[in-house]
Amino acid sequence: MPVQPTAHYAMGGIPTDVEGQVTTGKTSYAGLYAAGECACVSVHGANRLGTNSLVDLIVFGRRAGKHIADYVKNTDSGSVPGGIEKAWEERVHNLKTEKGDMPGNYYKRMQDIMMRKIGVYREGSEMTEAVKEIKKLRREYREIRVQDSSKNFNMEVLSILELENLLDLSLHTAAAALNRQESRGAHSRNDFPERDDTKWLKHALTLIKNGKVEIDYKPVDISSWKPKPRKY
Amino acid sequence: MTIVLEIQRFNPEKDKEPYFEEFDLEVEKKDRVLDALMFIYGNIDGSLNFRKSCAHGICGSDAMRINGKEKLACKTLIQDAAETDGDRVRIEPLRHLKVQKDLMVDQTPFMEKFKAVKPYFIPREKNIEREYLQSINERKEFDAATKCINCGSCYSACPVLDKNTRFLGPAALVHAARFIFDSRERGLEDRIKILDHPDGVWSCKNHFECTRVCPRSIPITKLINLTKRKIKKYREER
Repeated sequence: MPVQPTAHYAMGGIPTDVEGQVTTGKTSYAGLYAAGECACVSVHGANRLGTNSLVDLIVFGRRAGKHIADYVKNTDSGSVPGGIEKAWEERVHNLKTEKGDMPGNYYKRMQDIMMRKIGVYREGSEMTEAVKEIKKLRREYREIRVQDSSKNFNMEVLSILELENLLDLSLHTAAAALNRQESRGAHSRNDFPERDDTKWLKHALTLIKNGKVEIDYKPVDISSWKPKPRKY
Repeated sequence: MTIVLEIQRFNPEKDKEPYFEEFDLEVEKKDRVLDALMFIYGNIDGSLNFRKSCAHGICGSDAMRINGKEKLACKTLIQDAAETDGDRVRIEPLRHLKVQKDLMVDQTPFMEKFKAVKPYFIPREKNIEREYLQSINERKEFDAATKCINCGSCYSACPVLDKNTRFLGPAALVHAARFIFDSRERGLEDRIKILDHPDGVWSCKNHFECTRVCPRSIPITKLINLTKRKIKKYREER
């Protein structure tokens, strides 16, 4: 069996409060919840300890579930903005009706860039390249088309839609890694090997707008636990 | 090395019945069969359908028949399926479940049998005041049965299911064993009807095919036999 390094868990994620409600601190999204590995309360900071992923599920999954039940009972059902259904139908239809590229090479390039340049040990100039290359891939992704036009069990359509999400997440990750000029937890930089609490003890929030990444910050709550050097 | 993958295809929207399609591939010996399937899907034929998720042997999604034997594609190396250039590797879906498309099968009957044995913890007492204590030996009684990932390999391999489609099947019986041998649990009391039944444990005829193919090395036939013994004892005591 080959033995290889692999990405095992993602720290960070969709920012929420302790009830699982999505909020950046400045903007809240009523009715939108996240829990588990995709969410960031945050309980793990820059490096999740072993078995502590259960906390995301058992504690915050439960809290979010209870809050959702309450919310749903006390809110009007609302409506979906017009045009969304049609936009998605068109999107899937376009994937099926024209000729274009197959996804294999795009997956491979994304994996190569992220593994080599946003991997375990990071460095500024490599990460700068990675951000550029991912942005390029996101543009070229538009060339992908599906070969299988069947209606049922169309794994191809599903995974091509997922690939777009993966490219978005790659850009978030790469941009955030490049931006943070220190080492902290799992983020290890050869060019900034020390932790810098004066400048960087804060959460970073990334938003993709028109192909560019906007970065905002949120303070870390250290009222219960003060950060210390790890000495064990 | 080069191999020839013979893959069973079937698209109910287009085909009357399944057929085999061949793909010539350049692969490394230590690639996994799943890597080969992913390569075909991503670069040669996007219509090739199969289930996969974790890709490292934990989720059980990519169970299929490789050269006639049930295996997880992500845990089968090319060198396990082929020796020299030009060797053929046959890929077919699991047996005993209806083919939905290519290598994807309808898991509904399998999952219904799983649910039928009540595969969830039913505590002995109604109001639990503190945690249950359990010794290492008590835990050992059902530890192997906790490993089942519902991949369906055993269900596909079982010869009893060739003729008796109502048989609960090996996986469901493993899940039942996990609870009935757990000292903290109500056990047989809540599951006796479904297990002590011609289509329950008594259909098992000790073929051992399930044990042979289980990717988690669960001693399935042994657990079924222990369950049979426990049921007999339960009946005698009443």
